[in-house]
Amino acid sequence: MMRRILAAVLLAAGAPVLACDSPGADYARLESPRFVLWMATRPAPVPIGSEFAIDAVLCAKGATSADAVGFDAWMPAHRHGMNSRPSVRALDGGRWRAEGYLFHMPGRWQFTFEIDTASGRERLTHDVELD
Amino acid sequence: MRLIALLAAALLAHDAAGGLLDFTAAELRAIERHGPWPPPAPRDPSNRVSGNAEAIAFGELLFFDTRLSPNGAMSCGRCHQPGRAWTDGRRTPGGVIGATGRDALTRNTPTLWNAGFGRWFGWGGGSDTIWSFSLRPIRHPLEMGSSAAHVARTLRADPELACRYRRVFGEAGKPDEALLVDVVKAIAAFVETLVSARSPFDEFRDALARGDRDAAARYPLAAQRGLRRFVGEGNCSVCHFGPAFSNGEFGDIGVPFFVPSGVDSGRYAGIQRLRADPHNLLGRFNDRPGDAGAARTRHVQLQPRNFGEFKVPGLRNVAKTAPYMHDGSLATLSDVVKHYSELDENRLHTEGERILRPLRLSPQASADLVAFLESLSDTGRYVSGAPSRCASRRVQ
Repeated sequence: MMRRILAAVLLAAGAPVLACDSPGADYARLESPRFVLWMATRPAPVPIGSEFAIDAVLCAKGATSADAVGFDAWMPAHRHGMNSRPSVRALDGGRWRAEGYLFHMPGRWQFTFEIDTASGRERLTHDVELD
Repeated sequence: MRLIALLAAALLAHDAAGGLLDFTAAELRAIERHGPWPPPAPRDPSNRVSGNAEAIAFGELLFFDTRLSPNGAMSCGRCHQPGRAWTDGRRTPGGVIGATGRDALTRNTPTLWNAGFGRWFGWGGGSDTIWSFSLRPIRHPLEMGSSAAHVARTLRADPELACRYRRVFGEAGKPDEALLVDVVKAIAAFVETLVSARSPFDEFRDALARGDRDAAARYPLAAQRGLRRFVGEGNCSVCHFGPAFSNGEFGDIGVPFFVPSGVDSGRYAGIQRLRADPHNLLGRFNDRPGDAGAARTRHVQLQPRNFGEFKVPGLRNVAKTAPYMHDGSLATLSDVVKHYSELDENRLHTEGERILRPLRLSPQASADLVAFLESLSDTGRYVSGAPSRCASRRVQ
């Protein structure tokens, strides 16, 4: 559901090639062969046991267009994900807000972003250690 | 050899006289996360009378009023008894309500201490607010067996209840269902006030936080050793997290979920129930539907691993809330520690690094963990708000 929502918006926007400048000092930069994704948590740092959101900006390095982006997170060591499924909506300036994240225990969590294109899927990740 | 004997003697003397373990920086951080206590009073944005003094007093009366059940025998307070830490002290409530066999209720009556800090309510989390959860025992045929019509009739007929309702909610002329929702919101406002007092652990935690080693050393060494295991190799604080000692979520800890009528799937059925509940936060009875709090219900996802998961209970006052586990199957805290010590790993469904492993505790280590858990008890007791009568009061 989440992925379909975002996909529809991206297609409507024509999947533009955006400048990959940092949207702000609190954004982390993630990179795959064809994309750059900037993300920041709201609030920061990530709280344990209460909901939070992330703001994200996706840009393509070349002419590649993204058909869909999946937002998720999991604990690689425990091999379990969240108990919630985020939902995504568009903000201004080409940003996206994904709401409904909840990390319910301390430890290493990994944000995952799966970008579907006509020629395959690319995966970007960002780790956070919650103490 | 002589040196070892001297060291052993010194350690024993140290233990007897009290002292302070040499906690690592990581342990100190983990301990500090379990406070401070108490936190600010909980408030429920979906309940417009949350925190309202008149509503709290009204809710307290309703909580103990057996007239809300058609047979005049049951109330919330019959199972959530103040003298038993807001439990019934039984494995399951069958003895209280008189139902046995396949008709018995199969889940232990949970304490209401600190319920207001939760996100999900019930062992399976089938409700997202205290007030919506409260509708279930009121209507359940094996509990209060009541209805909106009966509650509304009782309230309208009794001058005291009617007066209190009017002062909190206005005239009682609304439909029975809406009036029942108001009643459970008043009850929830009362339940939110049940916040446990400070415990010996809190004194220790705060002393550590301010660097007062002398004050910290008053905390028994056995409890310190148990605490060290709790936040360390026991991994207990991964789920029993934060000041309330619960992450508010659900886990499978290997307690059987077979019941006379089949299986109790716990969180799996809880999410299904939550989604189907017209009184959940996404429904029309939420007093602030645009509030961010409803997001948790919108985003919750049903997963196969939810099967057999049950609520992670808070541990404050845990020594007063026996028996334990969702089915009340463990009689004492020692039994609970033994359960984790001898955990059947094959029973747990996990695909990665196990959070839970059998701890294989020595008798001393088990006793230390129990000593720590007992140190989470406060010394306070419930004192009724003893509200003065409403009906005889002159309304300005």
